[in-house]
Amino acid sequence: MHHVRTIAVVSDSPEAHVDATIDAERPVVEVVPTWEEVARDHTQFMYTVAYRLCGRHEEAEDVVQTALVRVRRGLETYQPGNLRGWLSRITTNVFLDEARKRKRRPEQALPEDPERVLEGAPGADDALAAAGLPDYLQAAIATLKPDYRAALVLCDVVGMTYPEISEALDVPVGTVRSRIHRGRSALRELVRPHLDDGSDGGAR
Amino acid sequence: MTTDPSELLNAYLDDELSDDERSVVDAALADSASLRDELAELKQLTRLLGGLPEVAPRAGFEPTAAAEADRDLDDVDEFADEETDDRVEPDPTRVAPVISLDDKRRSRVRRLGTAVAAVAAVWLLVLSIGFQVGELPVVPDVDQFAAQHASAEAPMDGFEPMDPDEMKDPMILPDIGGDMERQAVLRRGEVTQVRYSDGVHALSVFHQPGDVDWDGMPDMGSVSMVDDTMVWQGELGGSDVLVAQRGDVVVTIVADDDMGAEMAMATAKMMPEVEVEQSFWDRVGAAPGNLLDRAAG
Repeated sequence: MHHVRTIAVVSDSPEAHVDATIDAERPVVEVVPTWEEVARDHTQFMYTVAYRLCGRHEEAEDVVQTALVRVRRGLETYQPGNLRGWLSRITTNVFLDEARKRKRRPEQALPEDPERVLEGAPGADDALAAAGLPDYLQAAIATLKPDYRAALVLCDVVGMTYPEISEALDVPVGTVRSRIHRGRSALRELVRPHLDDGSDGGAR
Repeated sequence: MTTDPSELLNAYLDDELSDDERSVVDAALADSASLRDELAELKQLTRLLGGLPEVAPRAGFEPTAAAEADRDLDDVDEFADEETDDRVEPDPTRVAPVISLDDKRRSRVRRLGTAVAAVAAVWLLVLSIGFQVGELPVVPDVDQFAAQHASAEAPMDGFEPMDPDEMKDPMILPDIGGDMERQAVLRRGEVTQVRYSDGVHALSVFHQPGDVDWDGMPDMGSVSMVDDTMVWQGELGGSDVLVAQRGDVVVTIVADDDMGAEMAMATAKMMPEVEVEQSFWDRVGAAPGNLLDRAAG
C-alpha cells in the first residue's frame, strides 16, 4: 500500500454537505462524507490498518466494526483535512483500547529465535491475506507491544509523519520517535536472517 | 534528548530530525561502516513494511449497518444476549408466603434483623481484612514516582531522607551492578525510594507493600510477560518505568531514558522477593475505608 496523503475528495452524493464554496479559481476541497460513503470507500483501508495491527481477521473485523461506530459519531464534528489520517487514528485507538482490555491475557514476549515467530502463525485465510508478503513480517509485527505496533503501522504502513502520529496517539513526538526506534529494532532482530539473504518477498 | 546516532537513525531515515541532529548522524555515518549497515537494514525493513499490500476483509464481512450503528457498543452488556436467552420471568404463582404478624412484632423483628446484619457485616469486614495479608491491591503512582526520580537533588513534598542502616530493609541494596551505587534513600508513608547512580545515569527503585492491581495500571503503559514475569512498562517524562511484583512488595523502577527498558528489567529481577509482616491492626489501618478511620470520623 502506498504512503497516503489525503489530497482532496469531493463527494458526488447529494447528501454530503459542503463546507466550502467550490469555484474555478479555488482548489477542490474535501467535504465531510456520509457514514455510508466512508463504509463504502474506506472500509478496506481501515481494515488494512486493523489487520496489520491485529494480525488476525477475527480481531481486525471487531476493530473495524467498533471504529465505524466511532466514525459515525465523529462525523458530526469532523473537520475536513485528512480523512484517512482521521480514520487511521480512530482505528488505531480502537485497537489500543482493546489491547488494554486484554490485560488479563498477557502478550507473548519477543521470541529469541526468529524462527519461532512463525509459531501460532495465522490460519489459512489469514495466510491468503498475506500472500505475496513475507509471512514472517506480519507475524513479527504481531509480537510487538501494542504501543510500538501502533506507531510502526501508522508510520510505515499508513505513512504518517511523527507529528501526525503524536496527535493520533496523544503522546509526545519524542515518545513516537522512541517507539518507532524500539519497534523497528525489535523487528530488525526478528527478520534479519531474511534481510541478509536479500529475500524481501513481495516488497515493491 | 538522546544524541546517540544509533537511536537517531530511524528518525533520520524518516526525515524527522532537526538540522543539528541530522548533522550528528551524517558525521557518524561517514565514520562508521556498521552504522551504514544498520541504516541499510532499516531502509530495507521500512521498504518491506511500506510494500505491504492492502488487506481485503473476508467474504461475508459487512460494515455495521446504519440502524445498528446507533447502538453504542461501549454501553452494551456483553452478556446481554445470554441473559435474554436464559432469563426466566418470575413466576407470579411462586410468591413467598407472608408471615402473619402484627405491626409491632414485625417492626421489632425488622430492627433486630437489621442490627444482627450490621454486626455480621462488621465482623465479616474484619475477618476479610485478616485474610487479605499481602493481597492489598496497589496501583503505584507511577506519574509521581517518575517526577520524584527526575527531581533528583530536590525531593518532592513528602519524601524524607532516611538512613538505610537504620531501616534494615532487604529491598534497599547497596548497588545494582556495574557502577550504579546507592546515592540516597527516601521515604513517604509506605513508599521507599532508593536512588542509584554511576555519576552519569540514574535509576530509582520505589517499593511498597501490596499486590499490583494489574487491571488498574494506567493506560500510558502496558502489561506483558517478560521471561515468565508479569510487568507493566511505560514511558513517563522521558524515563522508562517498569512495575513488577517481588513477593509481597510492589517494585517500581524508574530509569533514565538512555539506560533503556532492559536496565529497568534487569534491576527488577535482582530485587529480592520478600514477605511483608504486618500486625493485624496494621492491616486494619491500611485497608481502604478502614474501621479506624471511620471510627475517628
